[in-house]
Amino acid sequence: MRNPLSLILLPTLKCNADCEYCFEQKTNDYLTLDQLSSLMCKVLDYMEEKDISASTIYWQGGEIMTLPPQWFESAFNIIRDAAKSRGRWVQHSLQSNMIGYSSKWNPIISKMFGNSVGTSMDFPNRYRKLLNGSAADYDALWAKNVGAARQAGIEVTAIAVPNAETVKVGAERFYQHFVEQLGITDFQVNTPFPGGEPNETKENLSLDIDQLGQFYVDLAQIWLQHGYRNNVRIGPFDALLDYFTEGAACLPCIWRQNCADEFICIDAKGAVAQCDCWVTSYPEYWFGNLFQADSLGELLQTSKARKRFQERPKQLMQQGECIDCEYLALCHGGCPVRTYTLRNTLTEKDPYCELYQTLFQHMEKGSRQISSARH
Amino acid sequence: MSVVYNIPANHVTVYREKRIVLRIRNSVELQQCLPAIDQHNLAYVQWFIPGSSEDNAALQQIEAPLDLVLSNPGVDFPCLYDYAALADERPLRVSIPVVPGFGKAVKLAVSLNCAVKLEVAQPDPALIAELAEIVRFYLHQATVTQTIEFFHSLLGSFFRQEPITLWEIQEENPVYARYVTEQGEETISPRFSGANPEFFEERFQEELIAGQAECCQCDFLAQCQGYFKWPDRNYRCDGVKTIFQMLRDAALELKNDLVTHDAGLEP
Repeated sequence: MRNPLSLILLPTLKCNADCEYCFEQKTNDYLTLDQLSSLMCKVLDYMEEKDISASTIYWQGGEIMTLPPQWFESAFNIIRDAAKSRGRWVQHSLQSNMIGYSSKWNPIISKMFGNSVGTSMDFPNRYRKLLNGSAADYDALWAKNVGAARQAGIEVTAIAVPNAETVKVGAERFYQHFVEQLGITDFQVNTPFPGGEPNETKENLSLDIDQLGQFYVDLAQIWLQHGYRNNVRIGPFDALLDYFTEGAACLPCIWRQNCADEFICIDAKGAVAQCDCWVTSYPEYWFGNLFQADSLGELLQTSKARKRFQERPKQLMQQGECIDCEYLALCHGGCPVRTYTLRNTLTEKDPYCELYQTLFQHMEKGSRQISSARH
Repeated sequence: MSVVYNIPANHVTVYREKRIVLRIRNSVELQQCLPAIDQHNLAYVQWFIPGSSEDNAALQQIEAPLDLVLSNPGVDFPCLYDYAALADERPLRVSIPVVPGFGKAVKLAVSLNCAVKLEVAQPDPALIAELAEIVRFYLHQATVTQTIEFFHSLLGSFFRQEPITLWEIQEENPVYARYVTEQGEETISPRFSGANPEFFEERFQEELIAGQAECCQCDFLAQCQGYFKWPDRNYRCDGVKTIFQMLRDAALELKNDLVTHDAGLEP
């Protein structure tokens, strides 16, 4: 049996927020349940063809909660029955901004998503806004809904993207905000990138790499000192610590050997691409359309766009710089979408290379200290 | 241990009752020999890379451990990305000849979670320098989590003071390794082509000692047993001795560290 298939599925391209740095082109498109059946049939065909026994579907949008909970109830049954009939196993993971959350969501979150939701929030929040609302309005509603979800026993994890003010307030304040004030003990920090249609916010999204690197190192240090022993998990530090202490880890997608071999994204219109940013904003990089293709296997096999992603790590090795990096095993040239949106090409290494190296060094050193303390 | 025959695909039926390593060069060869393969006697498959996308797709039909043979490592090393996912499904090793630029292939293979076997003959000073760099990489780089042979077994041998020879590590022990050429000739491995295995089993090392080769005074004779004296018996081993020395020093350092640690002191 092959490795599990990771599928990022965007059943709706509609959103209830208006975040200034969002890379997605929003539309009112959504998957009908008939379309979902047809899509899953082709995904399961592909799993059979490739001898893949299991799949994880990462449900994202648009915003997931612009569809009703009943839609997910039906979707869950459709997928469960289809997978069972093929002897396959599918699990589900939910990513939502939580702006549309209410207690009506609790049963399906429990049943379909293991009572867990991944959400997003920045600190300080400057760019996440409600439709016709402010960042402060967004903060207030988000905090209220996340609080209610946690009250209902739902585990809430978060993704945060640092901005200029994050770096200014510093890692300690950032850590306190998430862990102590919000009580979120599992979150990851992603580097920003200006995907999608340009705007003024995106033009100013890039941060000084040295300063951002220092922020990451400071945050990692705070986590090593206060967090990891108290079951606080912060990505990517936790994965790096696992890697350096255990020799293996589930690294984030930006550092996988080749993301093109590991997951695909399908949107509500059937477009297939590498991940959510590519599928929503860069049609020239679509692998094809699943509703028009006879099979997912053939679509992936014949896609010239996908070939470009598959070839990227090889091209980076040929160029020479990455092959001499002592952290090659951890990074493989980094994220294509960050490279493309910041450098306008796929065939350069990730623009955050320097930051990654600083962080890898720091976590390697930190893991040595932890290992020697353990023994 | 029974003899293991490394055979080309067109000899599968001839060696059907024997323990084999099967060399396959492409999907056509695989299709031809697949029905005749006795999985029970198949140690592993040697697959020559880079191959075409059709050849790579055919690899899914093999369940046995795989040894990917990268003949031109300095140029073709990026192709390892095409095979990396196979490491999640079965034991996977990359065999890399020690030729200029081989170090890049080693670094990438290890970074892709593949074990490595170096195919070494009589390296010149430039290659010794590259080998030394890779020994340092193997010994000290925190991201190396896979074995690199022959370093790994030698290090273990020095550490545990257990006898093992390069001939065994490199699967070239003339007692049980047979390489069958495309023409059906049996030898030890490709670098011994034309030579009789029995000569190496019985007389080669004796002749080296009798001939006063530098082996007589060599600290590493127990592990090497003349491995680097073929095909040129006059090959000077100063360079390869530095490689042995690095591994022996590392084993000693590791031992000392463990003793210090067990005594409750910081190494």
